[in-house]
Amino acid sequence: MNTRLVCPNDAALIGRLARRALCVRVTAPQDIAAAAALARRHNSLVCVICETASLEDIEVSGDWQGIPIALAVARTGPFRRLAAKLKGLRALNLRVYLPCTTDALVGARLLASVGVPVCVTLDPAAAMDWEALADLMTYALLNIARHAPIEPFQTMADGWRPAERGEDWGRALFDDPERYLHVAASGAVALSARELAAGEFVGDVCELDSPRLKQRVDERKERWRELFLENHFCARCPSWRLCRGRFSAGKTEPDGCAEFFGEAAEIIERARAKSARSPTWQA
Amino acid sequence: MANILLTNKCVRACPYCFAGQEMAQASAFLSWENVVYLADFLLASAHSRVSLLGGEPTLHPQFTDILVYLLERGFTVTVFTSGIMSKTALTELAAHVAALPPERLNFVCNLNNPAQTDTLKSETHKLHDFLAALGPRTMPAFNIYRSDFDIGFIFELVARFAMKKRLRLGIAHPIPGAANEAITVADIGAVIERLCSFRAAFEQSRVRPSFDCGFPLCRITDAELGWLVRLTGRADFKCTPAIDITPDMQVYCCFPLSSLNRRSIYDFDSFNAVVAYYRSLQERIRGDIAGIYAECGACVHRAERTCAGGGVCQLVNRLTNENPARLRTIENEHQACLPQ
Ligand code: SF4
Ligand code: SF4
Repeated sequence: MNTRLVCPNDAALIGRLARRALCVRVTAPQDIAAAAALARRHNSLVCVICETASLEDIEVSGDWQGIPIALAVARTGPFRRLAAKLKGLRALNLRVYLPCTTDALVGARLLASVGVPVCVTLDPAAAMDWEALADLMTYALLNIARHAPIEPFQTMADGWRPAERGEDWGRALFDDPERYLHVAASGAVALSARELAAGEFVGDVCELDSPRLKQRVDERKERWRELFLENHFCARCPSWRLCRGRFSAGKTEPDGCAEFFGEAAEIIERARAKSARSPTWQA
Repeated sequence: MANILLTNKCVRACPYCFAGQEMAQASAFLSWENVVYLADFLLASAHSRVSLLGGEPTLHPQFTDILVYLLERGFTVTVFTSGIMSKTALTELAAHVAALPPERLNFVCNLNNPAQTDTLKSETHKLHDFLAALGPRTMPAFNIYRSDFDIGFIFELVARFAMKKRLRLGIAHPIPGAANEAITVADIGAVIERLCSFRAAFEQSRVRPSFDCGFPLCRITDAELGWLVRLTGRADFKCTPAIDITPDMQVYCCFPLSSLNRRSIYDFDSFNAVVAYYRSLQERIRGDIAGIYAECGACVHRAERTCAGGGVCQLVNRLTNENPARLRTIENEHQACLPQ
C-alpha cells in the first residue's frame, strides 16, 4: 500500500519504518525542525503536524523553511498578536488547522484573507455551527477578493462530481484511510485519528503491505453501504453525495448537516459557473 | 472615502450630535465577517483609505484588532474619536501603532470646550492621556454648534501635545426630524465672523483651519479669504458625499441624511457604485434647491464649483420643514434607481 503514515515523533517507531511517506506529529513547535530531520533520514516527509494551543503563542522559526507544516491550533488568538507573525507564516509552506468553533471560524477567515492557508476541521464528534460554516464556505469559494485557500472546501470543490461519486475530501483532514493511516508509538495502526485515540487498531506497521490491512481499508471505504441497508436517514439524504454519512454517528435525525451539505453543493456549482464565465487564460 | 461605523455606541452626549438617531438604536458592533467583507469590497473597488467612526469606534471590543487588521490589508486609516477610552485600551492601542509610519494611521479627535459643553473631569483626564500617547498622530476637530463658540483651548492642546497643526472645523447641521443643537443658515455669517476673531491665535500657533462641508464662500470677505488662503494654501467650500457604512451593513450618505435612501451595501457591486448612487441623490436634491441662499441658483461660484452652495443636509432640512412631500418624492424616485 502506498499510504501515508501519520505517526508520532518517536525515534524508535520511525526507526522501524523506511521508505515510507510520513506525517510526523509533534506537540511543541520547537520540535518541528528536528522531527522533520529525523523523518527525512530514511523516509520521505509529507509534513509535520504540530498540535498546539494557540497561534498567538507560536514563535515562527526560520528553521521551518522547506518543511511542510500542518499547524493545528485550538484558536488563533487576537489579531493584534498575530500581525507580527504573518509575514513569517506566509513565507512558509504551512497550513493552519482550526476547529469549527465560532471564534475559530472567524479566525480562519481572517487568516485566509491575509494570505495564510487554513483548514477547518469538520469533526463529527463536535457541535457544529453549520450556518457559520456555510458562510465561510461561501467566502472560501465565491469571494470578491483573492485570499489563501480555505480547506476542506477547496478539496470538496475539486473532488465534487454532481452525477457520480466524487473524491473523498476527508484527505484534507488526514481522514481518508486510503490515503492516511494513523500509527501509535507502539506501531499499532488505526484507520483514523479518532480510532487511534480510542485504541481501535486494525493491525501493525509490520503489516503495512499485507492484503489483510488493504482489505480493512477497502471495507472501511465501502462501509457507507451499511447505512443504506439499515435504511438510515443518511440513505435518504439529498446531500449524501458530498457528505456520505460522515456526520451520521450517534444521531437519530440530521442536525443541520443535510442543509449545510446541500448548500455546499450549490456553492460549488456557483463557483464552477463563475470560473467558467471567467476562465483562466491558457497558453 | 468610506466611513465604517464600528459601533453605534458612544460615552459622550454632545448636544450637537449628528449620530443621535443611530445611537438611539440597540447596541451594535460591526462583526469580523463584515470587517473582512468590507475590506475585500473596498480593495476590489480600488479604495485603500478608510475612516473608522462610531458612535465612538474605540468602544468596539476588538477595536485594536480591527485597526491592525485593516492596516495589514494595506489600508490607510483615519480614526474619528473622542479620545476617551480606558487606560488598558489606550495602552494596547498605542503599543500596536507606535511603529507605524505617520501617513498610514491618523486620528481626528473631536474636541468639546469644557467651558461651553458639559464635560466630566474624568473625560478631560482621559482625553489628555490619549493626546499624551497619540497627539502627534492626531488632528484636532471642533464642531461649531453655537455662534459664541470658543476654540482658544484647542491651541493650547495642540501645543501641549504636539498635535497636528490643522484644525478641522465642522458646522453642526440640523438633523432633519431630530432635536440636536445646530447652526441655522441665518447664523452662518455670525459663525464665520466669530471664527475670524481667532485669527491671531491661528497665526501665532500656525494652526491651519480646514473646513468641513457646508461653509458658504459668499459669507467670507475677501480680506478673510486672503488670510485663510495665505495661512492654509487653500480654502474649500465643498459638499461631497461621505459614505457611511453601519455595523449592520447599511449605507447612507452623511450622518445628517442617514434616513434618506438608506440601502444595504450588498445592493452594490462596488464602492464606486455606492458613491455614484449617493452623488446622484445629492444632484437630485440640488436640482430642486440650488443652495442655502436664494442667490445660490444664479451664483457664478456655484456654477464654477468653487462653492457647493452649503451642505446638502441643510437643503434636506429645509425640504423636511417646508415641503416634506417633495422630499418623499425625490427619495422614492431615487429609491427606484437601481445602483449601477
Ligand atoms: S448530511 Fe447528515 S443526513 Fe446527510 S448524509 Fe451527511 S450525515 Fe447523513
Ligand atoms: S453658491 Fe450660494 S453659498 Fe456658495 S457662494 Fe454662491 S451664493 Fe454663496
